[in-house]
Parts: sequence; structure tokens; C-alpha cells
Amino acid sequence: MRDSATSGDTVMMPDAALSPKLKSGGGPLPHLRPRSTEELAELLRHAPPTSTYRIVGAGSWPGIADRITANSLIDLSGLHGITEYVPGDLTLTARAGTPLSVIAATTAAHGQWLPLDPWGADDGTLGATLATASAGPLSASIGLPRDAALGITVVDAAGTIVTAGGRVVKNVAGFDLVRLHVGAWGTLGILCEVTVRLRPMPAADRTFAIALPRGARDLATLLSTMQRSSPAPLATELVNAPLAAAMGLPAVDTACVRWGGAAAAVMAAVDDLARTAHLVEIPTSAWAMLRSSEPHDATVVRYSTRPSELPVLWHAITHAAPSDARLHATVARGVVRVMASAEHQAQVIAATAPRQPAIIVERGFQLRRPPTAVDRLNQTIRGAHDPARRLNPGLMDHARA
Amino acid sequence: MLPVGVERELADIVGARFVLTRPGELLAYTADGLPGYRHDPALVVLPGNREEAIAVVQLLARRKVSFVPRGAGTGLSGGALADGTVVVGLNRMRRVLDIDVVNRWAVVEPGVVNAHLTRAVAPHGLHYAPDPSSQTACTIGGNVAENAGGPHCLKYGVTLNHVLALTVVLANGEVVTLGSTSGETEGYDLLGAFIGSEGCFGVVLDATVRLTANPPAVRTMLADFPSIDAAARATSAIIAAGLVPAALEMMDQPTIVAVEASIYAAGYPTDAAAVLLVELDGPDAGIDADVAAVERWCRDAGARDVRVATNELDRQRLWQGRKKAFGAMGRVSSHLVVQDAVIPRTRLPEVLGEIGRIGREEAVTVCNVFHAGDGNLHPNIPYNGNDPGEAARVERAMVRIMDACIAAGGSVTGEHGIGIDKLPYMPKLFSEASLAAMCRLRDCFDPERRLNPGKVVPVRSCKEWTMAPAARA
Repeated sequence: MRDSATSGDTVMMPDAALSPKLKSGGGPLPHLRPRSTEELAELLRHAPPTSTYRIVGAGSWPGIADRITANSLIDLSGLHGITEYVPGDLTLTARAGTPLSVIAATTAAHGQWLPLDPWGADDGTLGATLATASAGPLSASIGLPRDAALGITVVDAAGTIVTAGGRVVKNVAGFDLVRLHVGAWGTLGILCEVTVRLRPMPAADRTFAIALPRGARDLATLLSTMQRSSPAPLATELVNAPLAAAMGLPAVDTACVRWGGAAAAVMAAVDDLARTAHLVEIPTSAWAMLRSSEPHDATVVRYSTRPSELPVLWHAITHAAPSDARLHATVARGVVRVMASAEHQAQVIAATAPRQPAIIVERGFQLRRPPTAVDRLNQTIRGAHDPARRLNPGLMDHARA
Repeated sequence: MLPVGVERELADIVGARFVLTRPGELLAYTADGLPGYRHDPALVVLPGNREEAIAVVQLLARRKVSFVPRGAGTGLSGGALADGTVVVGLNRMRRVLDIDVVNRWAVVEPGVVNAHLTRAVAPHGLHYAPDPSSQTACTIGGNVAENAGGPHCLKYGVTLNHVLALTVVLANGEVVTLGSTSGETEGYDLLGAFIGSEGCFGVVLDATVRLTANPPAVRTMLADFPSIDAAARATSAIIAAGLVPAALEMMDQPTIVAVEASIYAAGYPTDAAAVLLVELDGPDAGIDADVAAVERWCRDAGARDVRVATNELDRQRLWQGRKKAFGAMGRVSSHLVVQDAVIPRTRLPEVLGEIGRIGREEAVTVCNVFHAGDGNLHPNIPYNGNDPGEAARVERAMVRIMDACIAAGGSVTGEHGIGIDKLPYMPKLFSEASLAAMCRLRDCFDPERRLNPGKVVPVRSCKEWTMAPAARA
């Protein structure tokens, strides 16, 4: 396996940051709401050395506050608005606190979209989407959040304003600080402004539900046929029965397939698959329901394997998970995301051990494992950018010795 | 000068015949694809496999010797030159280690030639999408170092979008795996940070790259324009209409004339002020409607003629002229400067007009051959470098062109890298603080700054950073 965390050498630990004694203070944290990049930089330059910060966009990421042991809060909702949008360039620059819904409405008027679909609702912000690199169903075809980012302005822990990348669609000038900050959870600097690549909206955008066959072999055949369709699906997501019900679909294990492109091409792909499977068209809004279907009290764990091994992993997980757990899988990336209680996650981890999936805990507890050379490199980078751990302390630090 | 004994110790690892020290042997390593810079390496070491490569890097770490990783040396920014230091050439590591047809990825050693990978997977109906014009010679390791592009990156993305994971040996000799096939990783996006780091962050031992299914239908079109402006307007119209061609390339008249006079003649009309090479691909359904739409937009912008390649041979010929255009310019004169600026696509007509004006004012011939759909310009100037007057005019023209691109909101390199050639432009693009932040990242990977020293970020920026440790807090 390529990934460092496999179920073979991991131990589950309760998340230390969840224990009440480590929670910061009793009352609400001092709340800072800068209105510009310069104001944020000023604030950090003159901050007392003991100040530590939790960085908040829309504040909608569940459970994250408990993992960050900060004594103040920086609210980025004041950094709001689209600063540059030239439709003919298919690029858009917006401040970090701009909700995705605002960007979607603005670009749709020009037949364009920003195909980022992080887990959660569309009131989440552009900055948080890139800082968390949360990759939804579209990541299977369009790419990871990192692929959408062209340029950034960040303020580092010392209050220095740094820019990287630019507003053009191809750019290799200098070391790639854009990729460094996307997915860094604000721990290397606070994203203030981002330029993203837009795409033309597909002329036709249609989604279909297919009830999953029972056996892993039949499932593998179905998935392989779907993935080979032309055009390739924009998204193919498996959802189990409880999740399908939460999305307003019949309560059976279901594959949701989304095609986008010229109407004739989409029609051809649909007709082709309809020869071997029963397709039912469902509204595109099903995707938004899938993304916001996360029970706020659940722990969330992602398991990944080779896409060709996904049917087997999916079966192992559906059998090990309790009947009311919600789970779904991004087929083209080989990722299964499980929402369940911590105890049940332990059962799933144990049950999938023979398959050796890579495991990432998104929320709820931590996996302790021996630190690797990559962990040390990560810690070197964290230390070089924020030696006093002032930005989102508690995040990106789990492997610290 | 190298520390005593390093040469012998390297020979102990790779064998004496793979340590090159004689001037005649080193000659090939004194330049890359961009003529005009010559640096003499102290020696060249050519590891033959992963274990040798690791041992070489560990030895150089122990002896604190600087070195430059190098692929095929086709780079266009002077990035693979070593000034008195060691070159670690990776061309002998050219095995395709694994092809996973079902999951559509391949694991390759860094010295595998880009086009050889596509050839190896062609029987499965797959290809490796990034296609720099040097793809018949350049290596995957070099592509990773430069985050290489190519014509088809307009639709399919650059190297960054096609590398899933890398095993690399870091400056200190440690071996790490960055990224994963699923895109799932904990910690920072070190894979993303590594790609395009121009050999400053480590040496690739193997790369897991995405393979792309060959499209069922391909249509290649050549549109012929009476002015550069008309071709630029057609480009903007196609992009703004929401069609994403697989490739959208422009060549101007001086380039067409150079190509048509060379062995790569492609049948381009030599009386055209510019041609657009447009490739559409995808499912059969709907592609001919798109071809008709592109033809309409080109004619609306003033195209004299639009023709569609009638067969694969015809298509290959149209592409050969484009891909070998730099080579064709080699026939025109003894020297060639190659630039790689990127501008917002709506600014194409205006900036191309400005480039033409600068060329006339400085009395130099600018050959434009570039990725119009991405706004990625290659204004190239063939000239006689032995004529000091002409060389000075070329230099002045280049600086003015780059300044015009920066002023239009652009960048100084879209796919060739900074290397040493574009160092002077970095302070025009980035503040001192931003350059210092780049140095800070480099120092995390290579605190001794031994890998490809003096490249990418002006040394001045790194020095100032070193002198101001207080700024790190």
C-alpha cells in the first residue's frame, strides 16, 4: 500500500481534544472579525505572543471546534465578496469568506460553474473548501480541490502577506505555495483571497439511480461498465440504504451516476448503460442532499483502496457497519466514507483489516501509529511556518512526537 | 572542487564507466534545450537503478556535495545546469515498473521517456496525457520536476493533474512516498508541493501516473487567418462559448514559414498571417456539431479557410508541424530565445498586438507558436548571437514582452520553469515576502540548499531570508 496509515499498524485512541478538561475556557472565545487582508495581517503582527487562533469560515464544519485548542477566534466572514470575475477567462477571484452559493449564483448567470462540492452545505466558504481540501463526488472526474486553485493570498502566523500563483490557468513560476496551503487547514497561514479555475456548465447534466446488485462480483461488473461509459460519468457514488433514504430515494443500496456534456452524448451514454442496468432518473439536487446528510454526532472515517478492489471493500464495510450507519463510496477514487459511532468504526476497522485499506479519520477520534519520514517532514513544515502553533493548534499535528 | 574521494566513492556505487569526468564526456551536460547558457559540471554520475540512486544521494548528503538532478536535458530554462557541482543523470532508470490497465495508472522510473510510456500503454487503448513538444525525448522525472504542460493540457491538465504518487529520495537521503492513488493523504499536500519544484526538493525514484483512455472520436482542424488579431479573436470566442477543445494552438506567419521550409513541413498556408490548430475529442455523439460550431466562430472572426484533417496521417502531419516548430526555427539562425509567458485569455488580441509592436520597434523577428487556448504564449526570437547589436536588441525586446505580459496580469512561465533564465523576472511577480516564503518551503525539504542550488528563487531573496531569522517567528 502507498498510504502510510493502514489498518494493520494502527491503534484507535479517543480524541484527546474531545475531553472536557482540554476544552478552551468556559465562555465564548474572543471573536476577531477582520474586514480585509491588511487588517488581518495587522492583527497578527500585533497580537500578544500567547494568543492562539481558531480560524472560522461559515463555522459549519461539524466537530472541528473541539479539536482546536485556541484561546481566540478569527472569523473570516468579513472577508467577503468576489473581487474579479472575467467570464471570458474562466477564472474568478474571491475573498476567502465568500460562500460557495454566492459564487455558484454569479457564475451560473454566465453558463459557468466552480465544480467544487465539499461535504456539507453550499453556505460553506471558498476559503474553507480549499483549506480543508474537502473532496466531494465530483472529485472523481474533475479533480481534487487543489486542481481548481490558481492563486492565493495568505497571511502567515507572523502577519506577513504572501501571494502565490496568479490569475492565469497555467503557471509554474516559483515553488508551489498554492498546493502547500490547499488542504493545510489554515495551519501554515490564513487563506484570504483565492483565484479559481471555472468550467463551462455542461449543456446537459443528468443523474440516475441504479439499485445495486447483491454480490461483489455483479457489483464489480456494473461499476466497470459505468466507469467505461463515454463520456465518463462526472460522478459515480454508491450510497447504502439508510443514506439513500435520507436523500429521499428508495431505501436500497444505490449507485448514483451523473453525466454531463452535450445532450446527445449524455443520451448515448445513458442508453448504453440502460442495456445492462435499470436506470431511474433522479433530480440533480440529490447530490446536495448527499453532501449534507452527515449526522452531526457521528464519527467519520474514510477507507481507500484500488478502485478495482472497491466492490470487495464496500461489501466488507456494509456487512461490518451497523444497519443504521450511513456510508457512501466515490467509485473512481476507491474511497468509502463511513458515518457511524466510534464503537462501530472500530468494528469496521477490524473487519476491513484483511483488505488493508488506507484509513483517514475525518472526525471523532485519532489513530495512533508510529511516525513516518513523511510525518517528520510535515512537522518540519508546520514548525517552519508556525513555530508557536498559533494557527488552529491541534490540527495537522497528530503525529507530533 | 569536489571533496577528495567523492569521485571514487561514486564509482564504487555505480561503476567507473557511469561516472563521467572527461571534458568530452561532460560536454553534453553543459547546456539544456535553451542555448545561451553553458555551465560546466564537476562530474556526472548515472545511477542505473533505485538502490544506486539512493546510495548516490546519501553519499552526496554525507559529503555535503551539491548536485543537480537531470533527465533528458530538454528543459528550456537552464534548470538542469550544474555550475561546478555534480549532475545526477537519471536516464538509465527507464523501466516501466507496472501498468495497471483496470485502474488506469502506471508506475515508472524517472528516466522513462514521455512518449515511450504512451507507446507502452497504447495496446490497452490508453495514453499518458501531458504531451510537451519534446515528448519524444523528455523524461517523466523531468516532467515532474518542471510540472510540464503541452498542447493537450488545455482539456486534460498539466503534469500535476496526472501524477498520483511519487517515491522520492530527499536531500538528506531519506526515502518518502508522497501522495496516493486515491488522492487520500494525511498531512500537507507534499505531492502537489513537490511537482514543479525543479529538482530542488528531491530526486524522483518512481512515479505513479494516471493513464487516460483514448477518446472514441478526434477531429483536428486547421483554420487560416489573414491577421493575428483575427486568430486571437477566434480563440477568445471559442473559449468564451464554453467549448473545451482538446488543444487550441496558434502559429504566426514567421513560424509557419520556418516550419514549411523545414523537413517538418505540414502543408500550412505560408501566406496566412496566422493559423489555429484546433483539436476536438470525445464521444462520437455530438462531436460533428462542435466541429461545425468551431468552424463558424473561426469564420465569424475572419478565417479565410477552415479544413478538417481527413485521416490519421493528415492529422499527424498537422501536429508534426506544431510539435517540431522550435526545431524548425533552429534552421533559421544560430541562436533562439524561447519564452513561456501566460496571460488571461481575453487579453490575447491586445498582448499579441503589443508583442508585434515591440518586435518592429526593436527590429527583431518574433515567432509566435503557442497554446492559445490556455493563454500560454511562446514568443521566440531567432537571431545571430555573434552580433552584439542584434543580441542586445533581442534582450531588450524580450524584457519588454515579459513586462507587457506581467502588466496584463500574467505570469512569466506556464510550463518551462524558472530555472536560471527567468530568475530576473521573479521579483517583478512576487514580493520579497512571497519569495522568502518559497525559500522557507525549500528549506524544509533541503535545509542545506544542496539540490539544484541557485535556481527558481533569486539567491538574494534566500540570503535576505537567512539574515532575518526574526521574521520567521
